[in-house]
Amino acid sequence: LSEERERRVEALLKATLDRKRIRADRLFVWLFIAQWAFAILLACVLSPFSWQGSIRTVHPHVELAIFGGLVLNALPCALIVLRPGRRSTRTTVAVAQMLWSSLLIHLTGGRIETHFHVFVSLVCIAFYADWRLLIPATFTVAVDHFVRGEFWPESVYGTATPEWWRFLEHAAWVMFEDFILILSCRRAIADARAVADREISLNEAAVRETELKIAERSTEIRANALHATTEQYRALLEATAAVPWEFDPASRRCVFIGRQVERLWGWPHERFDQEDFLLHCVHHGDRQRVMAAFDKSATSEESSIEYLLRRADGSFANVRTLFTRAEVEDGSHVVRGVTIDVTAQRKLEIELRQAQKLESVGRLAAGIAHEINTPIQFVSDSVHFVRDASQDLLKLVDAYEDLRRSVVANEDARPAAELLAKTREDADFDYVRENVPAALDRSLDGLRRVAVIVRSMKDFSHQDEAEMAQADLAKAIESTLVIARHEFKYVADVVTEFEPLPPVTCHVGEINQALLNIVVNAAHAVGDVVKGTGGKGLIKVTARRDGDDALVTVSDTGGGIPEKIRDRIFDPFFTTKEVGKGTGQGLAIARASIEAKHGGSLTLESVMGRGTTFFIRIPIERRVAEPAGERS
Amino acid sequence: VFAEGQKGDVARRRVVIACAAALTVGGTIFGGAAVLRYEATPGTSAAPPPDWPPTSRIERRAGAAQIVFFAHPKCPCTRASFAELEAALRLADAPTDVVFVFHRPKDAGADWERDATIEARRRFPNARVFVDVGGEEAKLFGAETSGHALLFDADGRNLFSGGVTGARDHIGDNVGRRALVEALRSPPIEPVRRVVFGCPLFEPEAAEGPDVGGDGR
Repeated sequence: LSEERERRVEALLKATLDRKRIRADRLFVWLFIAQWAFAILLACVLSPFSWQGSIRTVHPHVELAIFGGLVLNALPCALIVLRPGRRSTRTTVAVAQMLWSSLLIHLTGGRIETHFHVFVSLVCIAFYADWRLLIPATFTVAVDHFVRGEFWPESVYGTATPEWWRFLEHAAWVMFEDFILILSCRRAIADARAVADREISLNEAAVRETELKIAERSTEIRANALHATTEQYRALLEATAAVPWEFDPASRRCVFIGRQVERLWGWPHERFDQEDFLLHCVHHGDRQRVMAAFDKSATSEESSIEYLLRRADGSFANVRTLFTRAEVEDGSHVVRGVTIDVTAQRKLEIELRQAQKLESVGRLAAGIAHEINTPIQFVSDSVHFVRDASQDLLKLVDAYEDLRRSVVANEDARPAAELLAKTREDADFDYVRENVPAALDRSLDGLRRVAVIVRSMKDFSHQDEAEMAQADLAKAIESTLVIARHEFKYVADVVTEFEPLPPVTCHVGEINQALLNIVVNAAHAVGDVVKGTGGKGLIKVTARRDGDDALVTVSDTGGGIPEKIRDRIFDPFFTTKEVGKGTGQGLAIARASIEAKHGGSLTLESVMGRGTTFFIRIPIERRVAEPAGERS
Repeated sequence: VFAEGQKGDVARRRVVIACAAALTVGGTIFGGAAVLRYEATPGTSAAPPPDWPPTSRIERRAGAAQIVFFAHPKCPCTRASFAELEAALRLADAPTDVVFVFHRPKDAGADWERDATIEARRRFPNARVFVDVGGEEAKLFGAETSGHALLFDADGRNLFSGGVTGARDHIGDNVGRRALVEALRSPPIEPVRRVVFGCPLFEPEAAEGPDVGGDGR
């Protein structure tokens, strides 16, 4: 790094010195021109003419000034113009400048004062801040001194017989000045280097400052972008009906909750800051369950729970919460989730289920009507018989009354007795005595059967209560079979095997609906197999306890379900039946109800050509994590 | 205009630089030599009279050493001779009468004498100015070059004849001045002759008398 910096300092120094030296070059051009003009002026003033008696001619000094100046200026000026800043240029300049000293000394007639020009010239050369230039300059002076000192000493030393040390004396003065100027040059370069160094430092500082500003600006831009993103996220989050929140189980406060909580349920979102406010909003019946779910859920595993949330106006909303427990930096846990208002969905589901039930009833109506019609028919026959019999009996009673009156009036009783005997014979009394009770029994039986069907339908169609309730599963299966009887009675025999079962906590209506769907499917499956054979298949329904669950199985002797569609039969709207016979909703609803609502399972085993068995498994006791179900 | 690269191609620049270099180097060497030659070439002198010429119209002051200094009033080189003469008189520190004899060509007008150099000499202490019309006196004293000084002792005997500068228009110590100083301090047995550096007093065709030369240096 320091090498790189050193390199930059050196480059800057070189650039600075180059500029300085080019400036010095330019200065010398003007100096050369000025010296030339001065020399010509000097010659013209001091020695314009030389004379021979009365004849005057231009003094050689004038010519010397003009041509000597031209000669001395030609090369350095050409170099300065064509090659400024080069060492060769300034070396030439230095030499020429020293020769200018000689020229001017000549033109002033060797005035000792003009020798100062030498020293001034050395100083001018020092403008280049290049001490090496002093060497050729000094050398030029030395050569000039040596040559002229040798051949014409007085022009140099002011004496015709200089002492031997005179050369050294002159040299010493020049060297002394050189020494000072070398120091000065070195000082100038050192200063320039210091300036360059400072400039680099300033540049670096400026660069650093710029970088800092850029960084600040980027941070600002990023912060703005972040803010914008945050706002976008917030807007996005709050635009939906899914309320995001973060709950701190330790403080039992909501660290964050989406503002739409106010729009959706009427609670100001700040209130969730209060300890236990979230739980306060949960229906008291669900509170324990929700708390337990929040506390026990595993880290990073998404869980869901449904419960009732109290609105600000005191009503309740069905909500579904998806949440995870997450570990935060300090090692503690928070629960994060979104809560979705599913009230409308629940209502729709209820309506859909009800509609499905009614649809089932509607679909089975013809069969049920037939089932009702048969007993009604023989009830009606029996009642007709009883009515006819009762008329005959009333006639018989009237005949007895006439006989009694004759006996009481002590009249002849024989005609009355004969009429009575005839009436009795007409009424076929013995037959009536024998058959009326049987007819009444038959009627009662028929009415009972109708009552069973009606009750089953009523049970079946009955809308579920909000809460699960304990139900007799066997009874429920029986009534479902009654409803479905017409579907299977011509194609299959139904066998039921019920082991004793404790009451099962469930939505019995939904279980009925699921069973009905499965039984009807079984009847259809068996029907397909036995069609045209005149034979009958078998549908076997069992119910028993299996551990903590009630297990209901429905087996049929149908054709089985092909392997490739087994996974799809629980999908909504999936059906293999012809149009109008099924909607494809039955098994989907059955599974949704049994698994999602009851925490049970609906599975099947199927062997092609042998038949299918559905296993309905329902927990006998309601489990904690199970949803409360709709109660709105 | 100083920017490199704006003066045509490199070759053209080289030519310009080569020409300039030739001019500078050649000019310096040959010009320098010519100048030296010019400045170091003495003027001519005729043989000086051994004694004060009796026909001279210049008054000789008895009982004092006398310097007769011939000068061309317009000659710029003579400035140095005046300076050196003054230096010599100062160095010798001997009472000396000085006569500045300024040449005036015959055809020159009266304004020839209205000259700053002549006026300056008039103000010189212990000095007289004599205007030598037509160079009569110069011929008598054997002077042909401006700056020629002749020293006569109190008896009118010539002790020194020559210039007091080392080159044309060049001040500074020189053999001529030294000889004059010596002659002023202690009169030599034999008259001393030195070369004179300066403009000729006479037009070329008017110059006459032998070129005595001298040891020059």
